[in-house]
Amino acid sequence: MSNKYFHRRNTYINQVKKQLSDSPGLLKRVLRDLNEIFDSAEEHGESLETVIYRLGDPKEFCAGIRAGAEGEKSVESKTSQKSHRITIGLGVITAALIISAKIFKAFQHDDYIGGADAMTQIKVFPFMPFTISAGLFVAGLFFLVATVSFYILKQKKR
Amino acid sequence: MVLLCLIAQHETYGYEIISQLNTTGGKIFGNAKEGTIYPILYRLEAAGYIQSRLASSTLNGGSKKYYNLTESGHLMLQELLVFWNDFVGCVNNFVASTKKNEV
Repeated sequence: MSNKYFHRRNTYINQVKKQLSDSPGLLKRVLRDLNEIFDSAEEHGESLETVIYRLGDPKEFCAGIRAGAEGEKSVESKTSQKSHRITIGLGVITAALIISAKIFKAFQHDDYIGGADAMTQIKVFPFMPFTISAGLFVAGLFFLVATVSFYILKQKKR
Repeated sequence: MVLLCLIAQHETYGYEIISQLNTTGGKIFGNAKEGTIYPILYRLEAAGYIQSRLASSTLNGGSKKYYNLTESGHLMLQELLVFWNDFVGCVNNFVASTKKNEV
């Protein structure tokens, strides 16, 4: 490719750089994509004039990209709000279960009828193989693991 | 929906998407431009409907960003296709009844 080709290509890229200089993250992505656009066009035998014509004025091109980025932020914000609500919901359930387990434990009666040192002490076997407080505590732990796992997964996705 | 349809067919990259849009739908949609298509791709990716991977290009030494549909992208496309069929069916009914009255 001639020097003139690269000069025109670089001129366009520099104008885009100038337009998006206040958004470094967006600029980095756009520059990568812009280089791919020029390279792919060249690969398919398309002239630089045709690509630049299709891209349009750098100001208009950047305005379109900015508008898209705004929409992207709104999509990300909605997704993030939903994730926050789910995490908070799971956290509240976890706290409620663990607190309930503690309350049940505090009010739980002994399984014995009669005094602890009495001769007629009778042990009552519960209907379930575990106490309600233990069940609530285990459920609380399960939700705690679910909350932490969900939070870590969401952080990794970002 | 058109972009999701194109990406659902096979893993593809920006230039190919624009070329396909112009070849197949240029007469109806007008010529697709990078300044319009790339922001949509960014939004679809942010929404989790498509994902991308970078691969080096042997022809020009640069890299290409290949897009493909995620699971939620496939689900969204199915929903959109159902809606589109209902939409077309509804409009066709209006057109058919208008044709009867016109004849």
